[in-house]
Amino acid sequence: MIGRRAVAVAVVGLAVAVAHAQPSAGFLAEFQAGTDAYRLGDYATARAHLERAAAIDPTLPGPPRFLAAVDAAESKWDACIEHARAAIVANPTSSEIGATRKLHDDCRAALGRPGFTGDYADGGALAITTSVAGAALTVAGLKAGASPLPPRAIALGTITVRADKAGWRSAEATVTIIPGVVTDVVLTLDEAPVGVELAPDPGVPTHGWLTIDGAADAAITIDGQAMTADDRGRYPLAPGDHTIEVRAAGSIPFRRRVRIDRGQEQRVVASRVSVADHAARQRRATIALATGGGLAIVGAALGWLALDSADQARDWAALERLRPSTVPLPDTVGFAPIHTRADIDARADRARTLGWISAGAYVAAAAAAATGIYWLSTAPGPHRLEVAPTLGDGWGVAVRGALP
Amino acid sequence: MIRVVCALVLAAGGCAWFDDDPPSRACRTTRDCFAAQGETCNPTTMQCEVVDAAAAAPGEAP
Repeated sequence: MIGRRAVAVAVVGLAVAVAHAQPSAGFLAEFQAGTDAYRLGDYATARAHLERAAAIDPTLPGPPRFLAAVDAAESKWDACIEHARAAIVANPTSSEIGATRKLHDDCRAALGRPGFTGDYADGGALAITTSVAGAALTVAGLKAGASPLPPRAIALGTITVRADKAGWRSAEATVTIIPGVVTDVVLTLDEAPVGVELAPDPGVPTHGWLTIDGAADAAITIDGQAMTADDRGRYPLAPGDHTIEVRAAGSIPFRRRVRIDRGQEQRVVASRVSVADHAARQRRATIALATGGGLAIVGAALGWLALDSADQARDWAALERLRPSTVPLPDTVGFAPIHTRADIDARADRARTLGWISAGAYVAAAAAAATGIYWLSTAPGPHRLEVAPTLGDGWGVAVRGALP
Repeated sequence: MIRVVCALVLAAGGCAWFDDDPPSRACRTTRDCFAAQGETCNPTTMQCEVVDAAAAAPGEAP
């Protein structure tokens, strides 16, 4: 009696289980309508029916598989991959699993993702890309090289993937590896804020030092003020530009602009130039400049004479070319005096000779002037003339000061 | 004053530099020669040459 009851209960329970495993009529109606609409190319209607079927029983693989097909038909590749994965997860041993995996791979390929060429065996595959290439990847706690990671075989299950890169915030994601397809992971790394704080170092001095050689018996002023050297003969100065002046009896003042850096020692040699030597140099420079000026005037005068001679020769030649050959020469003398070829050649030779002498005088004048300017600009002490190249929008030479 | 002198000197030098050459015997046609003095253009040498000694003597009656 007890055995019959047990059998009866078991039969009823099995019937309930079988009844529960069978799709409901509503599901079947929606799914059938969805597949029919898909095959007719009415993707919007198909999607609506299939989504309702999936809502009725989300554990069945049919609706997501057809939804993936609808996505592929409408070029919705990301949704296609998600629906295909849902179908695979719902029933990895489905008789349609091969078509579902192919649909999944086709949608991945449409997104430009590399395919898997290895053997899945009983597992799946993992591919990782990061927003910044070269990030150090960690898969399930193990180092996996630098991103991007091409599809690589991996066991099924849920794993954690992490990407680290200097200067970027680390990114992490948890993914589930499903069988027979590549699971893609895209990690986005945000730029890490950069902040460097420098702690004040009490050991760094706040000033620099100046040492002046050759100024033992001279009066030294820095920025117009007399300064006292420390026990090492250095002058402590604030960082920046300073003007030093060294005055000694019988010598011209030595002036120099120096730049002092914090914690650095600047050394300057104060050259001594006697007043007499300086005056002699200035005198030589003045003589050279005057010589140059005189030679230039001579060159200009000779040049003018050369021009005049050349003009005269050209005028005579023009007249002789115009003189008629059909009229006796004496009859034309009254209109214009005759100049023979010899006369004109002599005048042209004179013009050439004067021209060469003039050019030589100009060259000599330039050399003399350059020498004078050099002596003036390189003389120690306060310069009457300063010459320096200029840079910037154009090149050239800047001259400061005045000629004597 | 010095600047003015420098400018004049340089101007004179520039004029001399760019001035035309004085006349020479070079020619392309007899028009370039002193035909009244008996010169003609030698097509071989392209130089003005006197071909008639009598015409070359200025002041003489022909």
